[in-house]
Amino acid sequence: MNRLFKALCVIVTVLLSLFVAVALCNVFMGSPTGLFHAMRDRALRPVMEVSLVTSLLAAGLAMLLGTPVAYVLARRPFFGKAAVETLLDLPVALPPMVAGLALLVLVSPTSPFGHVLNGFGIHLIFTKAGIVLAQLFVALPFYIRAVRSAITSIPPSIPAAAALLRATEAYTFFHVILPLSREGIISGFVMCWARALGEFGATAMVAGCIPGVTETLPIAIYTRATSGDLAFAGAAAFCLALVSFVTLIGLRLSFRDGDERRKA
Amino acid sequence: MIRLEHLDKRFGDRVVLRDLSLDVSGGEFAILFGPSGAGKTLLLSILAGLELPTAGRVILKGCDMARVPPERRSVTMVFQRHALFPHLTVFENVAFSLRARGLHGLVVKRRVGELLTLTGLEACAGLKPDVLSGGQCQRVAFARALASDAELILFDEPLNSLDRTLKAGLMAELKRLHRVKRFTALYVTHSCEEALALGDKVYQLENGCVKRVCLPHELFDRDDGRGPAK
Repeated sequence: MNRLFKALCVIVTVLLSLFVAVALCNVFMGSPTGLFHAMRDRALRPVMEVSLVTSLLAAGLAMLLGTPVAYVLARRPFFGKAAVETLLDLPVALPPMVAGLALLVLVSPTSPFGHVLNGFGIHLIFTKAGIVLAQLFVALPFYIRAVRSAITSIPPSIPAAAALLRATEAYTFFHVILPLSREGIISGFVMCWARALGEFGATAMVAGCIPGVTETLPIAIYTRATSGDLAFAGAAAFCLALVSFVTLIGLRLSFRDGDERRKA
Repeated sequence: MIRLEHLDKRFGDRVVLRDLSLDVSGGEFAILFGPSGAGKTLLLSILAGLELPTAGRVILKGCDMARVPPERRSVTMVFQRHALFPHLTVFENVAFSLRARGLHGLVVKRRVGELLTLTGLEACAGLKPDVLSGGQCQRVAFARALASDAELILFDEPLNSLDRTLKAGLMAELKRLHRVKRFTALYVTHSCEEALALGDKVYQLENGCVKRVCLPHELFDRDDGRGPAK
């Protein structure tokens, strides 16, 4: 029975790994010549630019806004904390199309909020700013989760010691909490960026897919694949997969180095 | 220097400290002695401002500390597990309080240098806590507490996790530091040896209240006044 269980576990692991590898091979090694030509296609560059700029902006904003939120959630008890945590986590479970529709309704010029934004000259529908908003909305929980978990793992005696050494809460935050949460912040940023880079549903709802303006890599994959331009779609998919692959490897290597230093 | 008046601490129905009063004079090395679960560490947390009492008053130099946050109390603590900042070097750990108070870089360098010399840690200044021994970590914690210029230093069983030889050396070092700096100390322990070696006065805690106040050598006397216990 024990042998059968072990064998089953191994077989399932091997089959799943093979499935992922074969699926990805189709992207990486589909048709090398076609892929090469598509990669040199001038139309791909603006798509990549839009994707990289907006996803990096979204991840940067997530870092700026999410760090204090993660700190409050990790360190402070307050009334309704569970409700706030659930609310902030909701975009993870929410279908992206629903998130997109919610954002579309919120920032459309006919809504009170959208009206105010328009008054300040801020237009989010069918613009790059709209892409950033959609990506931020969907990816922010990933950043908050990672950083909250990193802050929670700091022993309570550390910030207590800082306070008893006459450090204010702000000084402790910048000189103790943030440096000790560095790994969580980096991994949160990367996960958030990867999620933003791959965002499709909410982005399409808020920003549409105007070629050269609001066309991101995932949107380009969908529109080109459905219109029969499989080489371009493959090239865009290759770019996305490559970025994800390199990011994941980089993250694993950097944290493995950290783990080894700690063990030593 | 510090006076606790009729302190109570409850967690729901559970009473941990009850009607606890004590008085420690300036420069005194007072020992809080008692078994595990007597409420010693909780009492230190209340003094430090990390916990609020359910009732009673904490008075430091004549001022009620009820609404004073930990960073403004002029009280610091040496923790049982050091609580050193793992991302900072020994120098930076000791300098932490001085920098947090915005002291000039040169002053920080001079003060930290003095304290590292006093605690025999000059050679370790550039090292991070993860490469230090338990005894060295505790010496850094002592130096860091002294750098805070706090008027009261709380010690939460700081020598508990150390072996006998190391413990004896650090007790002598702590005694010497107290002689040089004359800080007021409240030291939590359940070890008669530490109470005897370090204390000027002993508060014996049992079930959340002060059972008796005595001199360290009187710890070995029986409660009924019939001479020393075995």
